Amino acid sequence: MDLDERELILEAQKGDESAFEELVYRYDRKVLALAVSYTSDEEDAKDVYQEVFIRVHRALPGFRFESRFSTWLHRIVVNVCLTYKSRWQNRTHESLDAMAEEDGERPGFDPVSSEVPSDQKALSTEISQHVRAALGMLSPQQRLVFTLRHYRGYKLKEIAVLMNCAEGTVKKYLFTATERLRQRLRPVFQ
Amino acid sequence: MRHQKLKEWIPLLAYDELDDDQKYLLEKHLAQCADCRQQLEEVREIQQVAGTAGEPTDALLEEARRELRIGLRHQPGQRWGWFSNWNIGWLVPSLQTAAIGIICLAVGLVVGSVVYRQPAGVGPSITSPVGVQLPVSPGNISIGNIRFIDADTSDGNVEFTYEATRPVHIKGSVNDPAVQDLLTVALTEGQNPGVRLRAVNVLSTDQLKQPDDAVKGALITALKMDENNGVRKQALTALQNFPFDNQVRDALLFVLNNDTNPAMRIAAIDAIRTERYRDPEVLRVLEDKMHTDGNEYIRFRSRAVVQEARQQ
Repeated sequence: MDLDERELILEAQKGDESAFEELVYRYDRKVLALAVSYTSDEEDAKDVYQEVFIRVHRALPGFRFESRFSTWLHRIVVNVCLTYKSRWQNRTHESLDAMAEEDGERPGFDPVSSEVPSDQKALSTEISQHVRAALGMLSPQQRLVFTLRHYRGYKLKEIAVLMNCAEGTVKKYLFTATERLRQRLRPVFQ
Repeated sequence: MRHQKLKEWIPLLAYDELDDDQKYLLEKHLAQCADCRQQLEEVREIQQVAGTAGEPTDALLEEARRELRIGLRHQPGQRWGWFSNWNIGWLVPSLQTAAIGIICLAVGLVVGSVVYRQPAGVGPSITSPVGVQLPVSPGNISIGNIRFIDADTSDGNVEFTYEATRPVHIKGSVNDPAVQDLLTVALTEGQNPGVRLRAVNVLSTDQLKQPDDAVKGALITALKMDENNGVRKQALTALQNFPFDNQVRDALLFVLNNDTNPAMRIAAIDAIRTERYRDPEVLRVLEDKMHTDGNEYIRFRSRAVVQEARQQ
């Protein structure tokens, strides 16, 4: 941690709100980017962003420099993502499960249509919707690991630190996530 | 090695998370196993269709910051001064004074109306927690947020709380600190953009003889934070009536760096240009903007101001 950041944190811990603001500004674009990738929804992403920095603000006086500030912050991001009840995810689960039940299938059955329009742009939009729907069907852990690895480029070792679990567990999440995505998106590939 | 174990390594291979020995073993297996080759191909297709993540737009980030500021303000025990270099911390004492004044006035009016209009003990009444007798017929008091504590009428009584507000008419000099306090609250806290705009217009009047730091702070807050372009623009104009100190300079540089509206950034450059544009910090930001701003005219204006400063 550079001295400048340490000073900022110490000042923010003493109640200097401009120091807290500076800390927020240093990291918030990255936090919001991760939230957007994870939630696939700007409104949800803003909720996650807000919850993260409210928790940071509340917990900062207890930060003891035992880890890097960025690691501590990203652990909070991970916790918020894992516990966040997404409005969009709820809608997706409800609608897709309802669709599956209407079709006489078990809930969670692949809802992806194999019919794709010929127009390239429409095709790309539809594929994005399928990917988004498929991601919405993953568990929060699987989805977070996939988001962090695929969209944000974190190594699995780093993800294990952030999620406070063994690297092997993270590997399992990634495997399960790709398996489920593979099953759900197979009709799109064909 | 077992097929299932090697199968679990396939996404790890696709995401380059295997060491050399593992990679060798898996590639050897893939050469013989069509099922695993198919799986690897599909994982790579997922990587392709999942695409890459975009970065959040400046507008979204700005919106998130604004909502965060509001969210933090509503946290229990939260100080008012978050984003204190946006100078809203000063609002605390003045807000308290204004709020206490308004509450005292409202309580006085309520007590007065009870004493002079309605004899005690006549008709039903409600006792507030502080023991003030409030009339059931509240006149111009607006009642809201009714919450039932005890809605069981078996004993003939009912208990609930409500919030009572009464309009307060104020007429006074714009140089009166109490009036300025209320206007600054209206500017920074008003829900209606029209009210905020009228407040900033009043605060930028020439009649304001001794604008204090509180007014300057409110204008800076509005300039940086208000979601309405008109309010921000008027706040910028009003700030030009103040000495060009570091606070004003920083606020203008904030606009130049963060405001998504190009007209605001241009107005900030113009305001800087007429003031202290040879300040090293100002020059540093302008030099940056002449290369990086997304708006061609702003790049041009920044370059022109920098050249002008260098020639002098």
